[in-house]
Amino acid sequence: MDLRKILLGKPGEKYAMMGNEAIARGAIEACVKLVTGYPGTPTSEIIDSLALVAKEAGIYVEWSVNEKVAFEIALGAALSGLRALVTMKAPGINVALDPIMSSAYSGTVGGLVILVGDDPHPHTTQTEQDSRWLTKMTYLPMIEPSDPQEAKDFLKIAYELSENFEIPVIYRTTTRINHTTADVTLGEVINIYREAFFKRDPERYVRASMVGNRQRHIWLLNTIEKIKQHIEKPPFYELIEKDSAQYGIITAGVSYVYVREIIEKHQLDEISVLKLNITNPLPETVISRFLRKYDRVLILEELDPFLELQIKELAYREKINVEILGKEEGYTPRVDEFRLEIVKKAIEKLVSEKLSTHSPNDIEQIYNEALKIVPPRTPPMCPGCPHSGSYLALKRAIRNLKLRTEDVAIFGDIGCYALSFQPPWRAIWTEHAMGSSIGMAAGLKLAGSKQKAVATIGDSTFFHMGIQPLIDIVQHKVNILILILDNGTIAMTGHQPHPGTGITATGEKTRRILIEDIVKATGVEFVRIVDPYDIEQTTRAIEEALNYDGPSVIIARRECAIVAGRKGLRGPLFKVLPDKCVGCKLCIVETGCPAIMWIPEEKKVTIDPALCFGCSLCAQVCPYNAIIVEKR
Amino acid sequence: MSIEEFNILIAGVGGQGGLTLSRIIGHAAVLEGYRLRIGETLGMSQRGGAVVSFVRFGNRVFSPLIPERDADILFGLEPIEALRNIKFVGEKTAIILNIRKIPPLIVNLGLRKYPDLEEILSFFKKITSRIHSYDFSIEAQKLGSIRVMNTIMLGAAFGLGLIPLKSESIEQGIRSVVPRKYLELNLKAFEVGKKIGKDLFSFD
Repeated sequence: MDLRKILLGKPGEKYAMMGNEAIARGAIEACVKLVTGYPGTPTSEIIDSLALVAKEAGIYVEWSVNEKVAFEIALGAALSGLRALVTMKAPGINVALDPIMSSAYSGTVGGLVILVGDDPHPHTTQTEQDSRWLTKMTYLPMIEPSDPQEAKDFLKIAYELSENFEIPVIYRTTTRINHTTADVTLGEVINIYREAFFKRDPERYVRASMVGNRQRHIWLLNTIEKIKQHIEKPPFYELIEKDSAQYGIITAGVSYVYVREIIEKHQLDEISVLKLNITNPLPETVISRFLRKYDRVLILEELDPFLELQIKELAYREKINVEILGKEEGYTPRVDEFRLEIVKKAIEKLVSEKLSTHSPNDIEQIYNEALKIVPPRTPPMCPGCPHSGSYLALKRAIRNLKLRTEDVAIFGDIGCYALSFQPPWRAIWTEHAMGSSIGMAAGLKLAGSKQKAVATIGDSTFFHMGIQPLIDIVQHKVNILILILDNGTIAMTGHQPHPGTGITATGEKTRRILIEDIVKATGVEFVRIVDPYDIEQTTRAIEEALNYDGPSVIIARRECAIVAGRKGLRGPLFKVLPDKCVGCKLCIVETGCPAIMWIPEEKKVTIDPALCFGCSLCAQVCPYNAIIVEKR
Repeated sequence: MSIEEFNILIAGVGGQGGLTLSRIIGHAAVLEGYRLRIGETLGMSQRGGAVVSFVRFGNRVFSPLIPERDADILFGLEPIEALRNIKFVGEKTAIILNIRKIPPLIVNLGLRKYPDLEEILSFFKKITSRIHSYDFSIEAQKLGSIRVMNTIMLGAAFGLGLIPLKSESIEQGIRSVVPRKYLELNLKAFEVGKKIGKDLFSFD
């Protein structure tokens, strides 16, 4: 079924929808009029989905250059009275935090929801950041759904809260909500017509007046107090109380689904559950009442003891005599996401009984023995990935200049090319935050190190946060090489457009902003554009740059192989001549191409025709001319 | 509508069609009125990395993750990817295993060994007797595209009588999920798979 039809379906219809698709539908149902964001797993599919139906749904949708800009655009729209949504992964909310902090003082007019996707485990994120803490600094309310249906439905609650109290609301999801597919029933699309108009009110919106700022701080604190009164009722919490219950569990977000499943499966009538749908501020009266009913209350939450510490403080303040059990008592770990086993173990400890349905045997030992022989399969760079050519050339240039590996610090950045830390490339030394490669490389040189410094950064990462550090190094005459890996897309998150692609999220043509124009405008004199499929050309350019005195930029430009493959732009098929192959494996070791297979019985390599992209890197590398063009 | 909990685990390599398989089953389950949860992580794992989908349907299903030992079916699209998920295999688990190996880069580099198929199977045999291994990739190539290996395996599981959903629902799932240009091929692959499943069943 076409996702477009599902997103525009009728109320009552039921579909299998991914959490992010459900959120996209939720934005339509809540009459959101502007949606911005920067791609980041696990949140990217929200805007990917909305972009498909933006026109029909009457929503402006864009991929912004970074999360700070995305938030500011959403804020501007919300101040004009419309409902706006901004989406980002957890590190993105750090990027946007400066204007978010100020917006808490300004407040909003139309509903403004900041959706952040945390990633416990983590599956695809630099840190296991628990973004709930940001509510303590910003004071902003936080709504947390537990599954795809709620992820859709609770958006309406968040917008009503935001508009009732004129305050931005943070909407926290986690990977197991964003990327879970579930049966989701569509709801009514509400229709709010408002003309966008920004009412002038400098006392509220200009943060230049320090007295005004103090007054807005007071306003913010008072607003939070009012919200506290407002949320002591459903839908801000859900209470599942059993008459026979002796124990309580307080939980929120995805943790709830594990609790619910275990309680239903084992028919645990001795446990009542308080599920919080708002996690800042907390409905303290409801929680106090719950705490007073039970001797032992378990707090179940992933990552940090965020609820636990506040609930313990509440019990102390209200003088409630109750045993509160959580992270500090070792019931659940502070790292990784929950699994049924973790939650089951914590509940077993709470009720002091074993819930296992399995007969104990030595099966664990079989598992452990089996796992010992399984080789890891980390994601490689794809067949035909232009980044393979770039790192291959970089390593060759270092060798050709008779430099040792430790003499050239290679700083990495956020994107597919970070996979180059693995064998066989073992290229980047760091991967930190968006755009960090340039500043960190500069820091090494400014510290006085004799090592050469190379920053490798992708095209979208450069637009996101690479331009400012580039300006900084030009101003301070720092001698580093910036290798911009320009594959013409935001590849890792699913091939979203960026300012260098000449199109928008909704597929409209627009002016293409050239990276070289920006680089030249900053005053960099050494600028080269190379094709990373041409090993010779790329290697020579890097050698020259490493010998150059001053900031240098090389743009390695070649379209992402996945995008090119979809357009039917593969190169010719390559094959290995078995007579000529001596089994030196140089092709695998230098390119890391997953299409090249080692045949242990013959001690030779072969190329999988289904995987070969036709980039020719292996043929260029082979010293025995054993790899030739077959055909396609 | 009487199923409380049915757990399917799909393990393979990015690009093998595991996610498509999970979606087909998911659509079929929703059509039959079940609660559905598919747990998977998208992003890094898509491109040639290890990929796992947990597909769960039934009236008592809330978690997107399967409890350990509790898979009703394990679809192993690739042998070591099946073994990597052995913790979800218990006595009741039926395993449909494609024996075609895809060595990871680390094996091609000579840094790790790819285990023998017999050794892989021996671990599963210690836990369950319901193992059906076959070269489904060859059958897909016979049909003209390696990409329908996933649908053939689904057909085989159905032919073996392992999937408690109607054939029409699964066909509808295929129509909902597979792009139009590959639709006929996939419907045919499902039929071919069913026949293989029936043969495997009588062979057992």
